Amino acid sequence: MDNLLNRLPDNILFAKVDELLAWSKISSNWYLLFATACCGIELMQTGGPRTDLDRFGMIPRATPRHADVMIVAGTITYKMASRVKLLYDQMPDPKYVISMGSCANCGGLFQLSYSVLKGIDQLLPVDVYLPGCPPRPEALLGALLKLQEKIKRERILVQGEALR
Amino acid sequence: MSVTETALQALLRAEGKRFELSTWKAENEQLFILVPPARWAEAAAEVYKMGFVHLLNYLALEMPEAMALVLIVRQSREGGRLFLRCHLPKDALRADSLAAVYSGANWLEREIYDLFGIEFAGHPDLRRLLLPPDWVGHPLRKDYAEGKVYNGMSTERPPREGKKP
Repeated sequence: MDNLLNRLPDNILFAKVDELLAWSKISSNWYLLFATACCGIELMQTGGPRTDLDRFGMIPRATPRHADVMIVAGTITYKMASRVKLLYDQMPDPKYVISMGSCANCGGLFQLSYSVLKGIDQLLPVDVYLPGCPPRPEALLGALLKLQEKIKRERILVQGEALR
Repeated sequence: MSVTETALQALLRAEGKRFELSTWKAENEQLFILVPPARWAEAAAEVYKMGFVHLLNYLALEMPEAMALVLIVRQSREGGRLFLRCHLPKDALRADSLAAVYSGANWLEREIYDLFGIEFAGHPDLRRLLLPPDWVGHPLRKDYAEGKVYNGMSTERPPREGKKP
């Protein structure tokens, strides 16, 4: 590594500040260690060695105050909904939400139940919907990469369609 | 003579008249007994004294005419089972609590209260167990009607446009 650096000449790179900010955000999406049902098992597996989220800079955090991404993995009941909102409100901006699995997307298997929330988009703004019951780790990895693409397109300093 | 037949005979001999046991039968080492609602806690205490000390389950079910409470207990030594049952009229969903007899009945009665709305007189802490405290209604009743909104969250999800439901 040292040799490589010495071999390269001094460089100046030009970039737009917005793009630089977006670029700096995409590779450290710490996710909240939070799961409510069987999707949580796949979430744990995604953090394991086979898919290895660590190589994308994604590490689980046990507190929402450190987290950038909330992966809602599992069924959310009405009783749990207020807790989910509380966790989301504690996360610092910018924050993203992945709705993982059918239950989080629309209530899934339990849509006709009296106690289950019919989709977490009634509660939080969702960035990526991930279908599946439960989705495999590869699918969750795909969702996280989709989220990276979305963050890459984000513009904070200049709002509006002109620059997109 | 089987274990439950012996127990049944003892129960009938000692308590049959007092409890007005209207229906009973014994099969496969299991005893089925229907008691009047007013004698519910008394009958359970008697059953406990006879050695049925292991609480297996405690449940409610709705029938067309009445709401049934079922207590399933087991003899710890002999292994016989006893189903104690009472039928509560739907306009008076009230029974005596068994939490003083079987301490495991405490949370089961809270669950029955939560989902069926049967009130247990003498229960030490009769709050909802599973649903949030501000919930309206008892959802396992046949006449339960779900509200359109709960705490600002819609309880319905409209079908996607262009898709058949």
